[in-house]
Amino acid sequence: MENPAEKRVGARVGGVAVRVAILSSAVASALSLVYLVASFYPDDAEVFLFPRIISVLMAALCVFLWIDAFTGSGRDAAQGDGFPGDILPGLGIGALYLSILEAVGFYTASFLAFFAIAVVYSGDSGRGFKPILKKLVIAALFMVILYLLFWQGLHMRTPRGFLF
Amino acid sequence: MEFLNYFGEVFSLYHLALLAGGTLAGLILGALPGLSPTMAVALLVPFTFHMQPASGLVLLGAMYTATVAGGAISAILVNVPGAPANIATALDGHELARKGRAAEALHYCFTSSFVGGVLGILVLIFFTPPLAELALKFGPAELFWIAVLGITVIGTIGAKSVLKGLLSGLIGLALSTIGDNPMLGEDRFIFSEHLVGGVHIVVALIGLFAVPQVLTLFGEARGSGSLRMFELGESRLFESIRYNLSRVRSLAIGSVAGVIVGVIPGAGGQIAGLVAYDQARKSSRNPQNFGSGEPDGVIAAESANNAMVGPSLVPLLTLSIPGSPTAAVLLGGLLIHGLFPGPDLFTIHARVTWTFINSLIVAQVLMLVMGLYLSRHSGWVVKVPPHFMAAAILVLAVFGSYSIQSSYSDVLIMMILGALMFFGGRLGFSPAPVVLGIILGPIAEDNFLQARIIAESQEGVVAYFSSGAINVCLILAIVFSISYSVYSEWRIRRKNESARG
Repeated sequence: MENPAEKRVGARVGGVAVRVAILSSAVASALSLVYLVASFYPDDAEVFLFPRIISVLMAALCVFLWIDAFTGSGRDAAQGDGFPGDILPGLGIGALYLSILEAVGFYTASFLAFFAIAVVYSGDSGRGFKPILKKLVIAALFMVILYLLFWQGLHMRTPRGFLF
Repeated sequence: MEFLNYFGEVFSLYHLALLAGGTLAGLILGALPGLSPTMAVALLVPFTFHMQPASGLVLLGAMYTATVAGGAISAILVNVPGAPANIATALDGHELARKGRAAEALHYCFTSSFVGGVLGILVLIFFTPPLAELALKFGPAELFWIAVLGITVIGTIGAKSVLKGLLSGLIGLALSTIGDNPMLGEDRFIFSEHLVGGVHIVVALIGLFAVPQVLTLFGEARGSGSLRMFELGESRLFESIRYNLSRVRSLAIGSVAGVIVGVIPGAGGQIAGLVAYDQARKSSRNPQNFGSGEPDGVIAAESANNAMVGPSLVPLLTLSIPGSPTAAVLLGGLLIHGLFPGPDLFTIHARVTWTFINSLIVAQVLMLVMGLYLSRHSGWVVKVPPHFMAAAILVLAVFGSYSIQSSYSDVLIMMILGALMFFGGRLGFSPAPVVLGIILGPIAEDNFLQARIIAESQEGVVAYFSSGAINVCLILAIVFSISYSVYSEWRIRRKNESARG
């Protein structure tokens, strides 16, 4: 016999699965629609022949995905639909990193990104002078290794920006 | 047995030093996401210019062998394949690692690579003439079906739902159509200046695997992620090797798949690994264990991608047709030393050619020894705290994707694809089919368009694509692959439903 608490958990998990199935069908359909329009909109059938075949196949599979979502058989293949808030600071650092990469220089920007991620995601135990110094040293060492490998070893020249 | 006459050349101190250096460097470079075997060999070609031809080729061969195996290290430990050939390895290898069996997975990886690699080279030594004839039988229609088979295979593995897997493969194909049309050279889907060069395979590989891993590690560092840091695990080396060698079926499937795919021009190790993984799963008594840490998955995938190395040189050395992208770069290495593929290689230049081929066997032995040694000392990787690991993977991903074409656009594409894949993963989509779609897209489209032109001047499109024993076999394999996967999924769902009551 299932107790009421188990029933509630089961219903919640089932609800998430339905939401995920519908959301994944909607996202896939939107992508397919964009690709379908972009493939069939231009006049040149020869150039777009292969993309058109793919877009039709994608649209057909999306129909099956919707059927799967509503019949319930495709509801157990996903992890969850919630937005994981923990990744927001990291996404912010990543976006900033990309935007300054060329202007500041690959090595300096990468050093700053490495250090920022290490500080933001190390938790409360990572605060204080010593832990910060440790992160600075590790970030610097990592960049020295990358410099030796890519710049010296492989002769890969990255944009130097105004700080290298 | 002519090759035995030239074995002594390989054991000169100079060649042994080159082999050891090339193997060690290859294992390390292969483990870095973005530095694929093709790129590692390409970077090395200029350095071999001033060497004797045999010595230069010995170094290139060692690098080729070791980078293919080295890519499995990062696939197993951090779930980021070092190269496309290691995608199938990551599916079960990383799951084994998460269960605290990382050392065991690494042992399987190097032992299987060695077995597959040696078998592949023996095939190269003994069966070069008949295999060269087989390679010539693959025309545009056959290669098109090979690509379609690859897409159906990838669509049905790595994702829990066949529909989502196939859709992911098609999304990959769609991404591969961004840029020039291969036949007419006209632009397609270039909505931004960053898309002018299209989506490079390795850029997509890094983005789709590395960025979601970074974002998952962010969650882990804050304590809400699904990923748990794991131990390298205790594993007795000889027990792992004995178990590995007892998995004869998986080793045989991997080696045979690697040899066949290796001979087919342009197919490459990524297809070999996935085809072998798929066949090992389908022939297993416990197919439901695949994807959740099944040793047979690692064994089949790794034996396949190294078994491909030797046979990929068959069409290269005999017909100037590279069997893999790395073999294409090796062709450059041959040409700069004045060696032109064809019968002359085995007559006039027999000393150089046989020294090179023999050195590949020694390189396999060194790869096994060094790989097993490195796997004992790779425990520090799994002890790195998630915040440092995330930062290191992100920065490496940026450098790795930039290094391919020295393009900032590649870095941008890598990051955007990766972020989208993270959310796609939460909805049940998998990165492996997307990457393979991008890899197979150009092969499928080029050969489809070429075959269509040929067919129009002959018996018609349908007849051309469906005639010939190879075409029929490939079509049947595609139908079987999809049918079996749909049936398997239906059976698993029924089992789950009856378990729920």
